[in-house]
Amino acid sequence: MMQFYKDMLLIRRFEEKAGQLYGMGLIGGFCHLYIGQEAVVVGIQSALEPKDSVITAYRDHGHMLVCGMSANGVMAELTGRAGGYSKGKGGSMHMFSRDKKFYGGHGIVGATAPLGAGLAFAHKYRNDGGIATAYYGDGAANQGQVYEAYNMASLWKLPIIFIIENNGYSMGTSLARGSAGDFCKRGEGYGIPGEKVDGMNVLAVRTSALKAVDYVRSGNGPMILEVMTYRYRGHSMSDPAKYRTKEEVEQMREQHDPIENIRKIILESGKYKEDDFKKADKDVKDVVNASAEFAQASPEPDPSELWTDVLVEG
Amino acid sequence: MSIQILMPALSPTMTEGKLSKWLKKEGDKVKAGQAIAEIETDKATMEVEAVDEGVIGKILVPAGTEGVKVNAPIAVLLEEGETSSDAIPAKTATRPAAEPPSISCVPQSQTPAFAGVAKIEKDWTGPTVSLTVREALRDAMAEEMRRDQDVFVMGEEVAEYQGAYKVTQGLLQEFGSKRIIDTPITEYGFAGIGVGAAFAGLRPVVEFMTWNFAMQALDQIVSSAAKTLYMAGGKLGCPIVFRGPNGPASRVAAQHSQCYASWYGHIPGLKVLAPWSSADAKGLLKAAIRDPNPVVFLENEIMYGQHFDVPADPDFILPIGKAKIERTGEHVTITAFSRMVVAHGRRGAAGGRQAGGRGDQRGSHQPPHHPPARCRDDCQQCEENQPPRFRRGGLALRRHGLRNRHADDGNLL
Repeated sequence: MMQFYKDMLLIRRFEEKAGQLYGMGLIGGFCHLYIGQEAVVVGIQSALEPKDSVITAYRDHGHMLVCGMSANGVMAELTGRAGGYSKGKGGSMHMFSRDKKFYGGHGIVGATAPLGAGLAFAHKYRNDGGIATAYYGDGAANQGQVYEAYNMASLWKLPIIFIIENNGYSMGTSLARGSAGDFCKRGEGYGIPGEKVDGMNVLAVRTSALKAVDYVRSGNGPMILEVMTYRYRGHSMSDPAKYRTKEEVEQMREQHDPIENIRKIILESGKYKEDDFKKADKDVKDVVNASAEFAQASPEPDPSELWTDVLVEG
Repeated sequence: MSIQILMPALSPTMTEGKLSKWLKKEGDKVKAGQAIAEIETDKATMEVEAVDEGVIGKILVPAGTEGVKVNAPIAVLLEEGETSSDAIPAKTATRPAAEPPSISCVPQSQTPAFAGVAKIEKDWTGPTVSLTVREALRDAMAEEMRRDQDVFVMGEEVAEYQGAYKVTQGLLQEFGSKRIIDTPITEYGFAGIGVGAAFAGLRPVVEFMTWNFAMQALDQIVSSAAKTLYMAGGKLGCPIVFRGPNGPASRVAAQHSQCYASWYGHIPGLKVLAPWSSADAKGLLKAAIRDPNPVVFLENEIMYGQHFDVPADPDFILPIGKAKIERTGEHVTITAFSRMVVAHGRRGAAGGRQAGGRGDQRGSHQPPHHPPARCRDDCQQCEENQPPRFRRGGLALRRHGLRNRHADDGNLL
């Protein structure tokens, strides 16, 4: 449980630092922060094995960190530097690590459902026992290609968990204004079971994820997890979030914060003391500060990089 | 150590803004993420959040101040145990953001990405076999599937139906349903699944019943397959072939007659091939399947049933990125790809050398009965007067569109 606390705190502090660097003009372009949603990826990934594949959309920094990608490399990519995971050519939404089986980082809303099904297809084709997890948001869950992927994933019994990170708002449009019915039930017509999960509670997410992983890995085909979560920040850095009340955000923060939640549970268990948390906080802060320093010290990509990596040569 | 809170840039275009309201006063405790002030940007009013926990030691910019520059200190945050006397702002707030590099539109001392790709073509002079374009495509896929277990074929009606145009005939019987996969009619979805499988290192050959239907899948081809390599800094590529008939068939109306060569030819990150003869089709499809990049392979339905001689050598393969000179001449260069190679061939022959008269485009498979130089202009058996058929006429369209690497060597056709 302490590890969950540390993982979630790392994401939170990393994202706060990213917001700060954005404010200083060091991060340009798009930047979608994961603050508030930390329990989703930490809970799900805790149920996976290293051979399993992960793909997500553009609110992706947390997924990278939990997949074991280095904070330095991610922060340097956010600042568009040569030391970033994509040499500064991908930015916030586009980082990849074959080693960690992390396949991005995609900016097209809904694309991760079929792409993730493709990763699952590869696991099945190679019979390597791995499964795929495809993350997308409640906004993406209305895209047609998601349902094309459901159909084939079910038909071919692909080992994939479709994870809908439902934070209540597809950009500025609330669920009530944009989505009919429950996302977890939208697989029913395809024979795909779904479950709604409390995404502000990392232990609940883990429990559901373990069940889903077991179901999918056993060859039963895909499963859908609709994880109910909340983002404290706007959709992106330039979103003033006028479509919801301050009280709503405050209430989620004060009463449902996933990090405070697990902290309380750990303290109550008596296994760790305040000092342990202080040390964890400091360790996380050191990692994050180091990443910001690394990012700022890393050079801008050379202009000649514009002409490379368009095609694999040779 | 006290921390300066700087005026944040709240949008990519913001250079200054109005500090409209303080939500905290000096002496107030704040937690990371708590809103401390409101700022009017060029787009909206937004909140500034504390980046760390502490106590507001000093407010440096009073509420209502307009034109506060981005990165100017607006307040000082004290850490535990500090007093406001520690809250002395640094005199100069430096802006660490590096200046954007000057960008030249021309790559300097950098070989353009497409140069040097085409290898010297081996002269395939050995025995040939007669194949239709359809059979040549099928053989190319079968040979590559025998060679590499990671190659598989997916698409509508490719397996049990044996291909809507019978291009995949017999593949299901040889390779089984694990590797020859019928999909539902769902181009966007199966193109995406193919791309995902290619990300994972497999080598999918995705058949579109015709390229007209691939418009449903355009986003996956362009945004996912073509652009990922660049955005990944070269770390994640997409070795996939999308193939199927392209361009007008016969009397099928506008929705089924589109040629997409130019569309895909304009997408950086894609290789685009449009073969003409059976030898082109076979040699280039094999090369496409082995290529580490996403390849758009544009066939032509009308050519599927036409016979051409193809080198029998099992290692026969052609280089991508190199055009073929079908005929040399003295006055004019004509370039073409796909079926237009034969169309130009016929007209060129008829107009230039009075050799026409052959309405039948099928090639006969006999070698020329005498050297062309001694032939009569209207000789019907001479290769010079035939539609070009033994020679490869596909042009490779690469990311910069149509290229003819042999243009210097002589006229085409």
